[in-house]
Amino acid sequence: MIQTQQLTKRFGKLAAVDSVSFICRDGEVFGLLGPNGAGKTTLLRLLATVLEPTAGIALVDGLDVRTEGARVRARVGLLVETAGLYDRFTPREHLRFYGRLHGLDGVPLERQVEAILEMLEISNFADRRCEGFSVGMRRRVILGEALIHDPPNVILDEPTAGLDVMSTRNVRSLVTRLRDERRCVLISTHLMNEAQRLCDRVAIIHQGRLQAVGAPADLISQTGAANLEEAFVRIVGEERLRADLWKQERKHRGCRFWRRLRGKTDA
Amino acid sequence: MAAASGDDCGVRQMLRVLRVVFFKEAYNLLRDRRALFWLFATPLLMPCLSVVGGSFLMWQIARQTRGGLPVAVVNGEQISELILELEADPVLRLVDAPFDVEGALQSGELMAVLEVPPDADERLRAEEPLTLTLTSGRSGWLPDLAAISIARALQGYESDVLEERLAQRELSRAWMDPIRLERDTAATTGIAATPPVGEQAPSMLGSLFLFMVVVSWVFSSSLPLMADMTVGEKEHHTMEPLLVTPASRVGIVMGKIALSIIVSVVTIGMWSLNSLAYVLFLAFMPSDLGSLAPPASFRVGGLGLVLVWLLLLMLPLMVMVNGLVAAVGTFAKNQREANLFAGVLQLLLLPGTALLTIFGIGATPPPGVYALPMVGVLVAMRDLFGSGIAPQTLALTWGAATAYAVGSVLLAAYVFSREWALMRGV
Repeated sequence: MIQTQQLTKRFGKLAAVDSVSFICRDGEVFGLLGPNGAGKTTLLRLLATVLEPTAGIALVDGLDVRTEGARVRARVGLLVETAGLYDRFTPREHLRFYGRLHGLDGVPLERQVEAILEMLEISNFADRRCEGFSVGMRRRVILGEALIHDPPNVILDEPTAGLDVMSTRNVRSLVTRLRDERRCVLISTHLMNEAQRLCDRVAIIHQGRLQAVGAPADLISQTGAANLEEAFVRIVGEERLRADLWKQERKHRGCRFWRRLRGKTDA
Repeated sequence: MAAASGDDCGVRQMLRVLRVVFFKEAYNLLRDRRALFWLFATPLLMPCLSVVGGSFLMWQIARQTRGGLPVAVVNGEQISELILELEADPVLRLVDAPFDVEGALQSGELMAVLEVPPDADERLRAEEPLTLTLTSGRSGWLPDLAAISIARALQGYESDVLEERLAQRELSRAWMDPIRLERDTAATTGIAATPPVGEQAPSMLGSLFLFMVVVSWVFSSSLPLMADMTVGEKEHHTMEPLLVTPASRVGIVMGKIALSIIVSVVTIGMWSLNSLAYVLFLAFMPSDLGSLAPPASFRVGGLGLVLVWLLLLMLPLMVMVNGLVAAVGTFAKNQREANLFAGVLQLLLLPGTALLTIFGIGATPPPGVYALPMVGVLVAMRDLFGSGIAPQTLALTWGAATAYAVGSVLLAAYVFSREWALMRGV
């Protein structure tokens, strides 16, 4: 079970996560919904102890992420959206490496590696070096790394981003399977139909703050919307979403301007 | 569902992580053909290339001098003893001087011509100065070889003439050499790589050149590797998956440093073996090529001791520098930033410290100098190759260097566990 109370993370003056409180129970798929830059990934990193909270409490199976980092990490499997692979290693070697870092060895490790290879349908390319793998193949190996130690809590950051139809279906069926195994599954996504289909409950997060929490059907009925996407827009507010987009665009243009200016100066 | 061992005992877990990370990095390196080439190709290929090159050179010399190099002596009958010396030289073959000497030299038909004045015998008997003219061709290296052989024969003949004249005046050879200079060096103290007394110690070689070469050997290979192993995790986006394991941060850093040091030791070992092979090769060279041989004190006897002490002093220094690079590599946003630091360290800081040690620190510095980071080890190495170093000073140097090494590893582990360092560039 993952639990947060008034969890806050600041980078200087910016509050990337601002007083967020929720509970994700065992046997539940809990979705974090929000636009890009809402603070979803930061929140997941806080829960996986990659980042340290500025304020508030985060507990994983009752263990404080601040004081019991190593024990929390042993009970969490994190799939990072941007995670990469060692190109000269095979998927099997990746799984062995991460398994050993989690304290597995010998027969139990080999048994777990085989189970993961089979579960994620990696077996047919398990002994090929990862160089040149497709996005889907890479994502499956990274997911395997997150699950190698059989964690009771699984945190998936945009698990279907960049995947083709078949790979997306596989990931979704895996998430369902993890829920059926009574694990606590926390997913961040900005795909509303995915959240509606997979999640038992969702939390809508915007500019680091939690806007609403509940079952997708409840949120839809509360807002009187036709679907979760519409409910999301109504909860966050269309004007605020547009303002976000404008801000991001301006930031992007600014970066491009400086890059171009630097390029000209260099030349 | 079973959460893996987050409760493993601290030191045991750290050692296990060290082993796992070490083998992972080692496999990664062994599969990186480009890195392997840059690390090991030169020391591996150098002896092979030297053997092939040397053998080819010998073979060419033997082939092209078979039957002797054709040389002519004009008016040779004037100094028949010299002719006998030239005939005894296996490299040379005396032929009659052709009508067109210049043309023969240009065409390569003749390698060299020695012109003796027609009144040479008379002048020698009158003890007047005698000038011979040696003209050699310009086609390649064979005329030079012929000229060297002729000059050597002439030297022998000249020596005989001188002996004869001295004997006529009942003078010894020492009369020609009224003042002699014998060089010696002061006895060494404590532990030294050079012989304690007697032979001339190679002080210039030891204090200026040798340990700078060793330092550059050690760090040229390991620093870029260390930088790559740390910032490479960020660039390949493998840092975060690594951080969400319960693996000890110190263990991870130590595993990487261990590989870097082993690579350094292997590289330095290969270069040392090359040097040993060079020394052995020159030790068996003919005596007339003795000028190429290394100083006597650096022959096989002293080399083992040098290597042992070198490794003993270098090991903590290597750990310290690798730890610093690991810390900076972890903090660096990308390879460019990490390489910048490694480059500054390798091209400026290390040679700068070495130069400071050589020229800025006196022969008997206070003991505190031996405890300074980096400088202490270099001064101790200088003393080891020079006047010697007391065992307690060596122990102080080694102890201080070890303390810095531990500090550096802890610094790297600290940086590796800080989010401000890890999230830069992720």
